[in-house]
Amino acid sequence: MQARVSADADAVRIPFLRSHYARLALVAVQLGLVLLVARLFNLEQSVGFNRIAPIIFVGFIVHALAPLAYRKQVFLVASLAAIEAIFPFPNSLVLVGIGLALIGTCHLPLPHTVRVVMVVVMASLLALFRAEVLPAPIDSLSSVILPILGAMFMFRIVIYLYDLRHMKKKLTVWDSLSYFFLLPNVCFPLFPVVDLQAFLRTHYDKEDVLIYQKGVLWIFRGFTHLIMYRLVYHYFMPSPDEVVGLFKVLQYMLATYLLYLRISGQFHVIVGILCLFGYNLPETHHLYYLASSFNDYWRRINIYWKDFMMKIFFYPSFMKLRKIGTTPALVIATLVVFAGTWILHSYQWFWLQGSFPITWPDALFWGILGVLVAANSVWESKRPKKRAVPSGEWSLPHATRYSLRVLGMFVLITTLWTLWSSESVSDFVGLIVTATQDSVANWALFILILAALVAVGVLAQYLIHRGWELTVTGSAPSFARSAAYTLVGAVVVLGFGQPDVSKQLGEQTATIAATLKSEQLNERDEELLARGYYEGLLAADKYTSGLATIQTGKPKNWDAIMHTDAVEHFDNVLQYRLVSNMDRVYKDERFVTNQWGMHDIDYPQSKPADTRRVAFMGASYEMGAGVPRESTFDALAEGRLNAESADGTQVEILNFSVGGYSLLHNAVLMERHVPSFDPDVIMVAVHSSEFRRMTTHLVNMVEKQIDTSGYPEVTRVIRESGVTSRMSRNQMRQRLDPYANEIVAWSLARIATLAEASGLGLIALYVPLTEEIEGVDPDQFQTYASMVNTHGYDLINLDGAFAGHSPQDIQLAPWDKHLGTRGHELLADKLYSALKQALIDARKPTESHNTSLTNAG
Amino acid sequence: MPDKSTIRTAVKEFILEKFLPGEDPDSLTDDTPLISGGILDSISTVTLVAFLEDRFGVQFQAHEMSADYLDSPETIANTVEEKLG
Repeated sequence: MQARVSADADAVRIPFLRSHYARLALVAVQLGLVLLVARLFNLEQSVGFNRIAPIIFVGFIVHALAPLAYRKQVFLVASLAAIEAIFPFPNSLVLVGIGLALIGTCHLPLPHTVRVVMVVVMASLLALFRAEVLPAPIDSLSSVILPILGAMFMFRIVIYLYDLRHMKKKLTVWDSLSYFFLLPNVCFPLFPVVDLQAFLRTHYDKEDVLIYQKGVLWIFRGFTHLIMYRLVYHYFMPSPDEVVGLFKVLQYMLATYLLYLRISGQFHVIVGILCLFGYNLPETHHLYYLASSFNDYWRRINIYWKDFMMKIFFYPSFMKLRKIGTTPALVIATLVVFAGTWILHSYQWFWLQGSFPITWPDALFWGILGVLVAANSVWESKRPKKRAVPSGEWSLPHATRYSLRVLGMFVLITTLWTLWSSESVSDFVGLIVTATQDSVANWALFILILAALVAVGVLAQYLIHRGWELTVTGSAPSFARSAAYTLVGAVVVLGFGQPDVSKQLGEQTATIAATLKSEQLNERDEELLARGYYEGLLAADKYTSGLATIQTGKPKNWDAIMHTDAVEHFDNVLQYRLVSNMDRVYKDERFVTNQWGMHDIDYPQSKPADTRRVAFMGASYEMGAGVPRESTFDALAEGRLNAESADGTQVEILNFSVGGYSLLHNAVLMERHVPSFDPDVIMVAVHSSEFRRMTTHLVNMVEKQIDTSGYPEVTRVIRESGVTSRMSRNQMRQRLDPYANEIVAWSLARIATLAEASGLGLIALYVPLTEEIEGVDPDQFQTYASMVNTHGYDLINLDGAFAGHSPQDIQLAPWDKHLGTRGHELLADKLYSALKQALIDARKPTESHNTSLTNAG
Repeated sequence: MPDKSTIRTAVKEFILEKFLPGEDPDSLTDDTPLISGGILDSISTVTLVAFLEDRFGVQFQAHEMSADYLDSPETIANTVEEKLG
């Protein structure tokens, strides 16, 4: 009622707004601009938002102009069109078909309990497909269809069955279908748990244009959250190795919490879209960074989830338990809610990502929050609400206490959030220990900053008391004010996104604008992605991580080679090698090893006559993770060299590379295995990531307590760094990182010494990574070039091989940055040219080394 | 058996005393949204239901702790009246 008055008041002041169609047109213009913001900034493009945006725009206009009686049907058609746009036929048919079967089962003329059991059986069957325990009848079922089907049904069908039993209102078929196939769900798997009764109750419960205006405002607000998320993600989140000292730890903790902007942004967009179709749903998040108590926090953040848990867990538990007393019932019911939230978080993760994570940080986060909310609830129930300050008066002590409460909650929730986001509890403890070890002066500065923030809070309350509105739109914006804000805001953001405009604000601003428009990973996630490969860890188990999106489509069995049975493990510095004579599928590709445990064709151990033999050592790029052995770049170059051999001399490149190997692994290979194959040339691959991989190798050895006594240099750095096997991996990394370059240099020297002793040629092959399309970092390159130069290697630089190509061209998969077939072909072209020259001019054992930096091709 | 007006008045008095202390009584109308308007949260809802059960001798079910049954003084009065039969 209030909102209608508000719109009418606008209409009186602004003649243009007196017409309903004019207001509708104004909403449509805003929606167009806001969708352009999403397009310009590539917001949620990786999940296909660009494909449903035209459906939202056209669907909104058709829906708004249609007679009210047909609008639900129009919404359903738009929702089905969105499913087809994201999952073209036949996947769309499978998705909708399974969905209809589930909905139909809920309505069978059978007792309610029987229908619930039938739905549970069907869901269990689908779960077995999702977990890949049962082979799916179609390839796309497990990793493409079921995540979205799960997102649509995993919680809503619980509410649906609950409400079917209890609800007074009769459902129409359009209500049922629209409720499950909600338009934005198809590209937002993480979706607010929309309550069925709220969905029905709020449909056009106000004047239509007011609901539409709220929707477009929320979509815009959601996009601004997503842009701010990118700002935090790219410019505020420190890389793991930087997190040392109080202020870096604080920065990391704050950034971790701020990354939640991604979820609140997505949820605002989702609910905003539903408002465009008449569903006047409430806010999902309300100023959650300003909560003043644990209960207040629980009520402000993801409100739909709180309502779902109240309905399904809290009230039933409380009503059953209240005979034991209100307070015990309240405590137990609250703890049931948080235990349920913990388990359901993993249940949700299972449908969306295929695994069911049960971790200590999760358990502690939900456990601590549950206990705190339970205690807060008891306190609130015992203490009647009262006004501390009479209405209209101002009190400095009250404002100060309130500021302290808000700040205290922010600090506590930020800390809990950091615990939740940690890979392990020991990582979190290590982080806190790092902060506590900082100087007294820094801690004093931190306390001063907190005091200043309290003062800002007090000032803000005073200004509000004096009638100021501290948000641009105010708490209940009128139609005109909301429209003006959205229009001006969208135009400003669009302007900022134009390179010509942002350049006017300086080069740095232009760079920031360009970064905000990209969906690329930040430095930290790039590193975690790389580390995840090598360590079997991926910190993408939170949706705020940039990794989470790209990991969604990753098949369940897509593991690093050392975490599969394709390797045999040893308790020595080499740690593992490929199993010989193996023929299996690895990363969706046939993976065959020869009798010597190489991902290569078979070679005799003795070198044939008229053959120049190259022993090639490297890691996963060189091994060819996810490509057939005949398509690795060394195999392609070898084939071409032999095909074009003028004098009949053959070249054999024996590929000793194994995924995850560091140069220390290669030095061990050189000692123990390579010489028996009688090579003429040793070729060692070097990447810009050698130091990082060396650290990982050292960490693995410390963790597994490998005896390194045969390698005194390694033993020394482990001793000097002070690491122990009881430390977390992150703590070990931080201590061992400064020594990685020493062991890299030592390994290169060791390989060179052994080659020299046997009179072998020596090549270092600098191989760019797929993220180095634009060129390798010159400083990094020079560091490695100096090292190999010092130890007498000829250097072949393959930098530039990927120039002009996109990551999609050369990467194995969106979630895997290893080289795909095209990437190997590009490297092979460059390697062929360089090797042709190098092998023709190959040094004879008696010749002196002529070290030069060669950019192949 | 109390009539609807008595129930409504009792509900309003209870809400004003427990959840809106110091508020102008006129601001709480028969149609004021209590759950969807954020005046009643989960703790206040169970407190209110305990009051209704004690005062009017009715029993509530878990699924009735929702806006459909408790969203305004008027809705609450209807629900209690219905239960009293």
